[in-house]
Amino acid sequence: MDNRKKRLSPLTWTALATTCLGAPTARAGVDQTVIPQALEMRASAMEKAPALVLEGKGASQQINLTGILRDGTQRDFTHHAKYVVTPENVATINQEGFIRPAGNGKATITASFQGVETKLNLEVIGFEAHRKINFPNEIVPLFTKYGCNGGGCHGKSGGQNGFRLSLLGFEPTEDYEWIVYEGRGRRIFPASPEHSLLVTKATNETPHGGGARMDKGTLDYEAVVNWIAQGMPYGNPDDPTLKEIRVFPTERIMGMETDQQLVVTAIYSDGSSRDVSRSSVFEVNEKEVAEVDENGHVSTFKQPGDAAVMVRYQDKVAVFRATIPLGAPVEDLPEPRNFIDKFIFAKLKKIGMPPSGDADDATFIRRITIDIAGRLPTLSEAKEFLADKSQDKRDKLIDKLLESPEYADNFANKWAALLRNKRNQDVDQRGNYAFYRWIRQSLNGNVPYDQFVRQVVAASGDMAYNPAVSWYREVKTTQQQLEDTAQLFLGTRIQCAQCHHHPFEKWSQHDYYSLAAFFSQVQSKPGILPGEQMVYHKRGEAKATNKKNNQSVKPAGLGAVPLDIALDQDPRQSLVDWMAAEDNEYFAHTLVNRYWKHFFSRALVEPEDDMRATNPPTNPELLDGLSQHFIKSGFDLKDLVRKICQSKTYQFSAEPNAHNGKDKQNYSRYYPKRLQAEVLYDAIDELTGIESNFKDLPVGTRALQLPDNSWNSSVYFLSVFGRPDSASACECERSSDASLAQSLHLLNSKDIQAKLTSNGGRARVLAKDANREHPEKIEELYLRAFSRTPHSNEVSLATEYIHRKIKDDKGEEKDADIGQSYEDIVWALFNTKEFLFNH
Amino acid sequence: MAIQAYDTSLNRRHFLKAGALGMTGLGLADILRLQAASSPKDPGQYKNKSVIILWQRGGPSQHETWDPKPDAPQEYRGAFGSMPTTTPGVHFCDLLPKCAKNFDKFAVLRSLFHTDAGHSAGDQIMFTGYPPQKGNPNANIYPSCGSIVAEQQRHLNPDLPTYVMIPRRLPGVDPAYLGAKFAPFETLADPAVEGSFKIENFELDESLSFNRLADRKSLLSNFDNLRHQLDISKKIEAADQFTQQAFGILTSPKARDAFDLDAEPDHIRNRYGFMPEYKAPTPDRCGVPAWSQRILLARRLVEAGVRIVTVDLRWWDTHVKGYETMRDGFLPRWDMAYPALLQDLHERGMMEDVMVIAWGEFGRTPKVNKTGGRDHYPNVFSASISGGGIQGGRVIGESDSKGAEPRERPLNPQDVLATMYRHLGIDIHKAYLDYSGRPVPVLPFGEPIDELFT
Repeated sequence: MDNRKKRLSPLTWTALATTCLGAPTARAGVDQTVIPQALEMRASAMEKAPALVLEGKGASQQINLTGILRDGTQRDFTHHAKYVVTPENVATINQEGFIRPAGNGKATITASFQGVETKLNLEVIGFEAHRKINFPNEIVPLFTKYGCNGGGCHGKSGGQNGFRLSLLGFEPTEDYEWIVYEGRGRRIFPASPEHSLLVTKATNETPHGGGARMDKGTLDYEAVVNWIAQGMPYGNPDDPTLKEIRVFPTERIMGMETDQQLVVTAIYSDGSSRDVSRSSVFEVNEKEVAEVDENGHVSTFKQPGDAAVMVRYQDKVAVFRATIPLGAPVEDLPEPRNFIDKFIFAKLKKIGMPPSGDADDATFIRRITIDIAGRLPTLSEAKEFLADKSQDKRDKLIDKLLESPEYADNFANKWAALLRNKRNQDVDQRGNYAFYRWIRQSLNGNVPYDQFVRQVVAASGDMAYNPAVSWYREVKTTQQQLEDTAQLFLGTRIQCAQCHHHPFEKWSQHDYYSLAAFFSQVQSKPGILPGEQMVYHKRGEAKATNKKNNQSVKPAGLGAVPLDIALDQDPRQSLVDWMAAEDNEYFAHTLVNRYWKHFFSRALVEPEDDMRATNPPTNPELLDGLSQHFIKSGFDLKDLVRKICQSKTYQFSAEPNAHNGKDKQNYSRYYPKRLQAEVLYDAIDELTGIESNFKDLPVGTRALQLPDNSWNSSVYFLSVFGRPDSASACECERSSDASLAQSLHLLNSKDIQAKLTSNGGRARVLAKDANREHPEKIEELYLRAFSRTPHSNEVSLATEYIHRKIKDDKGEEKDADIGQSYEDIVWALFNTKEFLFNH
Repeated sequence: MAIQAYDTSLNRRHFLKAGALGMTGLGLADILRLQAASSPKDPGQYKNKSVIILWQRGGPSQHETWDPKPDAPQEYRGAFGSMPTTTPGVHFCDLLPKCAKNFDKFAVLRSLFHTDAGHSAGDQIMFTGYPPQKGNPNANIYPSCGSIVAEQQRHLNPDLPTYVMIPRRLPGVDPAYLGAKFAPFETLADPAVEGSFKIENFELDESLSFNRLADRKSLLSNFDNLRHQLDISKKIEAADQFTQQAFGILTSPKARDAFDLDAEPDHIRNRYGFMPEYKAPTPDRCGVPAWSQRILLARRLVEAGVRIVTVDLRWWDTHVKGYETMRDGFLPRWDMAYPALLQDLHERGMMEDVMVIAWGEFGRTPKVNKTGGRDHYPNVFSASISGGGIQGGRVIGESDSKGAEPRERPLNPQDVLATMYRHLGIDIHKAYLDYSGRPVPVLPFGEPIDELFT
């Protein structure tokens, strides 16, 4: 995620904005020569918008103006049209399509663009006074909008500088208490509302640590002042409550560097609705594709792709999805190999993004061997594959790799970290080895994923007999158990809902504790081996207490009906039953999304364990297709890998064509990724011809096969290249970022230098080999490093290097040492990006 | 992993203006470039600011350092007396005469407290501002202040790492969810060890020569033909940049000079002292490594442009015969090196720019135990702090008559961190997403200690 924008300080923005706003502005966004066939103006996201009535002086309304183009597509014209209100004393409308009442009466708004017109009728009533303000519905959302109740400010527990607000306004009654009564009412000054501390702090008239959040004279400012002037009404118990919010439009195909105004409508329990476009909070998920301002105005950049704008208002969310096509011709698509290609190609056509060509054989064998088996192809594998002329050799290679034990090594390494096989003390060693072996054997034997998960989540017994119980050693508390289960297996980060309503999700504390109830009867006691334990179901009713209201809740899956579970039955079995059911929306989706990312570097939903309505997939059809396939296959992991790897999409080249260089969401080419720490370490060993030794493990054990995290501290290479410490259930713990320490290590460390200069190492052996010419030996190195034969210029570069003259200490020319030259060549090869990256 | 930030401080209106800006002809690339060049606040103001944390690991006794209680009963007062300082009415332990004489250069906090008496747990609190992970306090679950500084303020001297740990990592100093990129750069080599001081990977390996490195470099550039445009995530480019920087460190003297402790003139080195290691007389006691020169290295690094240096000055864990270890081990070394650092910074005109925080993970029990030592005690403890505009000779906060509880102006470690962050121009309202996607602000609470400055 690009966070550079967010790091820019307000000060800098202001400075930039001031300079730039002085300059003449040519508004981008709409091609003035495009003439819509028709225009449609709407003031609500409701299907059937009620007549537009603005009540009270403080009312406002955002409109949206959509044009229908000749080809039937829709485009936003809200900020580009000319607006006229007749009669003009009833209301005003600005260039952004934002309406304020000016006096009682009826009026018509006419919007026009390049001679095309549309009209909207409007009535203003009750203009003499402000409508009675409802605190939870109208004031609290402002605290969210202006960031007052965020977790970094007054919303954190204990508040900021003595002033508390409930996090993101989820507890309006508490907010009311704190604002109106706490500190003997010092925050409110009804006699002169605009001098209330609440107001003057927000505007920074009274010095405020958070600076000026709200400008004087704005609509929001007036709302707060009027609420105080009205005597700080909370609202009546029978006042309507918020039921949902809707956004208009919900999706659009947008051009690059164009714009879109959103309209957000709050719908209340009495059926009434209200425009909350300017009280909602907007956030874009792909910040390189689009941005959104505080008024719900979306602007796209010169970057094709998909972006979702999450809209939040009180505890409700809605989402707007924008697809920004490149619009290049997509012809000559290859014949789809399977359903994956169908969905990918459909998307590529839709957005006009022609894919790269097929990766060549050398690239393919290296890529897939790393991705499936976590290692480089051997010399003979590379040679045989390149020489093989059969049509189905790629399929055969995929099958061979899936049946190889290295497949299990590679994925066991992944799962062992996610299942937190972590060594905290020496006594953990036995259990960790056993758990690792269990994971590896499950994968090797292709145990169906639902069974694999069941054996972990519902693990019972003594660690000495059932290694899967080890999961519970690191995942100790009920809280950790349900949170890891949700994040790892259901792609849901539910942690937030422990203490408050999830800010971006429908999940409440009730949902959190319903999930917790499944783990309520998990008990443990010391196992038969020292430091180990036994986990069992304690007979009793599965239930949890919702901390918010102290109510007892029954176990229930996310969004599922509560269950009555017999006292003797382990509720965790019921949880897995729910997870692995065919119609579960989370379980299979999460796994296929996670595996997709393993192969394509980018998940269909990013991050891969944060799947929610407000964070939609870039290719929903594909995500569904993969899940359905996975479920129908009986949760067959190898089959899933096979289907992914057989797809034409996986086999695209990484080389961009004239159009898809910027693509990072649509898989129009393979996105290169740095080899992960263990794989890179093994690959360097392989190329240098050295076997690393790992303490306490048999000779020949590779870094990829390390059972737990405990070697990270002793093998500097692994920690510096980001091997995770199994501290969380998140793959994000693994880092593939580059760093100075990595470069220094590769360039100049004893570790690496020793591998290069070892007597039995590849460089020395090749240098001493008198039976082969240098070009042949160079070819061997290239095949080992890159699975390809060298280009002729590469061979000549290397041979020239071997034959070069160097100067000795006295400045006299002499032949370079051949052994050293080979060391240098091997060194240079594994320092190339071609080596460091899978591409 | 890319760090995910969640900025709670940025006023949303500025996004609006940024949007307008985007329409005035500045492309996204320009905006991103402007952003990359800008740091959280006015960068000019913070350009030369840096911090040294003198980490008195183990937990120094408040009684035997900055907060003696001469009037308390013997079992509280301990074995040592007190002596006046440059500030009338303020006394230090009488084994710190040089500190007392130089009190005009630093301030003392006497009312710090937290609630965890475990070493690693205290480490976590002091370095991150957050409580430790239950069950495994050795591992950071929150990023250290150094990692946060490295994330927000990294361009002081691009040839050098931003965040350095002398000599190696400790519990609390890791980057957690900020990622390996913001881990401390460990010197590994230790100035406390006799002989010349060399940073391992900075010095060209003895089997290599500069010529050979140059040969390798040109060979690599010839072989290295994977196109950058393959990789829109910029990881290939980043790897390349670091490789170039690494070559720079190995071949240009600039970075190596910063770490070249041996280049310091003798009169400066002698000022910090070469007091030898104090070996623990019995296994139930802790020794003192010869850490005086580590402190000098820290000065050299901030002078060269490192933003934040943490120096391991262990092991003030004086459970048994503490008075003896303090008298023969810690206090003479400390009383030489600490004032030497402050004088050195002062003479070089660096006091305004360099904030020095000296503290450990907690204090010691007010009552001397049966074995003549004091045990872990977080309920009240002291720290010293200087530079960056802090007025010397100040005492902030007060402990009670036995040195057992804060009496006035109780201070949290987070207040010290907030003071330090403000000095560096770190935005403490910025939040980062942890592994579960939850936004976690730089500090959970804490306010800069303003009385230090006025």
